[in-house]
Amino acid sequence: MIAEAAVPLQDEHEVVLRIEGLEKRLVSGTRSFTLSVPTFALERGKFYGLVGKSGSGKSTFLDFLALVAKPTKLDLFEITDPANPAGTVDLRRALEANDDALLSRIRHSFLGYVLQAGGLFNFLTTRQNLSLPAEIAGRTPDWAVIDAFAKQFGVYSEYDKKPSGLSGGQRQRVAILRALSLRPALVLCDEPTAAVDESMANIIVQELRELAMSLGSTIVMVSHDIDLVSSVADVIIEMHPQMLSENDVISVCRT
Amino acid sequence: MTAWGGWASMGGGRTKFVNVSKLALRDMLHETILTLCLILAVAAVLTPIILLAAVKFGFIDSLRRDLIADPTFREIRPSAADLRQAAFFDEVAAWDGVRYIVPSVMLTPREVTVEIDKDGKRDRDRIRLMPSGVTDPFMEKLVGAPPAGDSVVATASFLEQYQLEIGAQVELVIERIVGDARQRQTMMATIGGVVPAETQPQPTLFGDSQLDSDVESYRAGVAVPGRGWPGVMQLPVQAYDAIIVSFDGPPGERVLSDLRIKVGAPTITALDAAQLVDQFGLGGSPAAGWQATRGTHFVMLENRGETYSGRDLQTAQAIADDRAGKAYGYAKPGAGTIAGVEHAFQGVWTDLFKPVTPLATVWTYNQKAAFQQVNGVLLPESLRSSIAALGGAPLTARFHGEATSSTPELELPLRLLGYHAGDTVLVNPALLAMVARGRDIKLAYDSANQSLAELSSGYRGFRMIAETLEDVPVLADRLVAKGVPVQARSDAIIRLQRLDRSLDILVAMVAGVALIGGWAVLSSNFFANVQRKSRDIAMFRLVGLSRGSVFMFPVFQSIVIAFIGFLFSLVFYWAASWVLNTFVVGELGFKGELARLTPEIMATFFLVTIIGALVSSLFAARATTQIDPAEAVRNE
Repeated sequence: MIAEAAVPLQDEHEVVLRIEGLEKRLVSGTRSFTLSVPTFALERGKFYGLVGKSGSGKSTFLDFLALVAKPTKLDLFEITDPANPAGTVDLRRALEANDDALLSRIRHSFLGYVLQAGGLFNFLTTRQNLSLPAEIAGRTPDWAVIDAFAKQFGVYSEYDKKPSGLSGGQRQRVAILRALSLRPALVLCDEPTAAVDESMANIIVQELRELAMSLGSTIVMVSHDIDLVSSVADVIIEMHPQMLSENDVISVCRT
Repeated sequence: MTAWGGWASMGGGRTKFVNVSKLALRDMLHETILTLCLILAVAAVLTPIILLAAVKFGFIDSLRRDLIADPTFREIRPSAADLRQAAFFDEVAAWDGVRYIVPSVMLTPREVTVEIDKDGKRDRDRIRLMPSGVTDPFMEKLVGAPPAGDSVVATASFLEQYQLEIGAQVELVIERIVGDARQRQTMMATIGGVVPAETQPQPTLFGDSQLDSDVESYRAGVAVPGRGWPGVMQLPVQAYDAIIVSFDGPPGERVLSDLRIKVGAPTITALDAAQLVDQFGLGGSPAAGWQATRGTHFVMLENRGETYSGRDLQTAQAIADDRAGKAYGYAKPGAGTIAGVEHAFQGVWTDLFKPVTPLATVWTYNQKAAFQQVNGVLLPESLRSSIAALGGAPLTARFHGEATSSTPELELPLRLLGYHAGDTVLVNPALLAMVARGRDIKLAYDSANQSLAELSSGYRGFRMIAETLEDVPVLADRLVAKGVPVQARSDAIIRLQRLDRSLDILVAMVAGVALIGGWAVLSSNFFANVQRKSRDIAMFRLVGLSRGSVFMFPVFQSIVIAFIGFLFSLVFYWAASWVLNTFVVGELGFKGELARLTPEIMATFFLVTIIGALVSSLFAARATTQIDPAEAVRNE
């Protein structure tokens, strides 16, 4: 059985992403794992914390949100971004059709991504890493805004250094800046503070929240640290795995 | 809901391509050492192949240019002294690939004696005289005037040897031996022009065709009226239309078979006595009552219009001796006028036939008969009064040949031997055979020697120059097929062509193996790079690069590496070729550049390199598209 929707829609707020009837079943040998998201919606400008035990399907759900995983079943998947004059986009069909060109465009224009260790390119300098999303989108980086945030994050003086010359905290800050450099509607963060100490983690997530909120971006952050998430998240989303049998587990997404 | 069209228009495809190219370039610059290693690997593969191709091209091209520059390599000469007439040269001159052809009287150019007066000293030398003309390729580098009349062209070596200049006069001495006597004629020739040693290294004089013809005519004993050079008495050649052999009994199959003495398709026809009389045209003279007096069985040998010589008659006689046979030459009746009246001239061997009325003379075959021995005639009785009216004036006859004959008209003095009862002019068959020779050779009566003289016997040789080296073997084969055995430098040219083709194959094989090796190195390297950089590529996909864009990543890098590798290989090639062309070439005694690259070869190598690199990157490029963007998350 799959649980009911845990994240009620809030029609009074602007919804940037809406999912209904998502299932992702992973099979390994005789064992299976099913991620179930009956209904799910993200509102613009909010910070969502995605928590759960290891193996509860957080990363799988994040892969899906990042458009790099294909669902087993999906009833609805829409995104809406005020920056896109074309309006709401039906991603269910794009995923079914494996429309790589469209999915790639959405990845670089709608989404930002911050990985555990930043996900910076070692062969690029900080400046080049920051300009990368714009270059991929075929746009000119808005250096006035990027420079301002870089100064605020304390990495402006590190522009000519490559990631290997940056500290862990600096790398994450640059990664956050890069993820937000095109003002995406949705920023996905996969354990962004896993590689830094606790105090630095708090600073980084606060900076991330401030920056995202100032840009109007929605954030979904995956973390094991419930305290850290609670300190910054507007909404906590929990993944609840249940054993249906000895070999079958279902994890339902709830607030 | 609509398609995701808004963001698509944010950046142009070209801008994206440039940005992806910049990323690929930055990646290469980040791994400078690895990139340089790949560039050097490309150069290491390319340089030897380019050098090999350049040496092959330089070597072959130098040889080819040497051959082309020297027209003697394009020269074709006959190797057998068969007589050829002007029509042959007109036909051959129109063949494709024939640049120039000039006939020569003799098979090979012969020497003349040259006497030079200079500074009070008289030098004497033997030197080759070759027929030539203004369009002769040997005259391409001529300085001065081409050969014409008494103006000749000399080689630079000749002028250098005697320290002469253009405009100098030399005396040409032409000699012949008649019996035991040495006869000579001289003429002054002007050196009108000079050709360089590369055209003709040996001391040589080039004269026009007329000079060649005059010199050789005089040597052959033929008068050259234009220069006032007298001829010598010649025994006229006899050309019989058939051979008739008489036997006292059946000749037998073996003898008949042996009598097929001419090459070709000779026919043998058996005749009885009456047919023999008819064959000689005597059947229409019933008053004379001709009948065969020798033999009972007769055969006639013919060879499809080809004539039989005195030597052929001797051969036939030797065969007929086995059966006590006797061979006679048969000449078709001739036509001509005597005292302005048209008559048929009938040749008859009087030991083969006997008329009712005995004749005043007996004509028997003599291979070495002089004209004066065979020009007696028996006229029809009906002409007696007309001849008497001439009052003792010399008797002459004008013989008519066919319009296509070399001697359409021939006026000859005759000796009146008497009259006979028939209505034709009876002559010695040898006289008709001598006149028949005029079909092929231009004949004239030589009053000084009281004989028939062959004015122009045609040409035994020629010099043909082909347009290109490749034309030489083709023309040589064509001449051989026409029955003209030739000598040419075809072997050298064919050897060069074979060498060229062999080296082409060799270079292609070496290049092929090297390129396959290079392809394998690059291909595996690019593939390994993709595996090594799978995290970066996955990350590219995660941040929004499409499959097509990441596909371009290794492709662009391979083209850049190939391009720079090609430039490196050109630098290495230039250094190696400089060493070869400066130092090694001297050691080998080679003329010209040993290694040479043309823009075409360079462009070909460039294209092959770029295409090869492109192909070698495709495997890796495809692998990039298989990388799941989710790997970026997993591998972080």
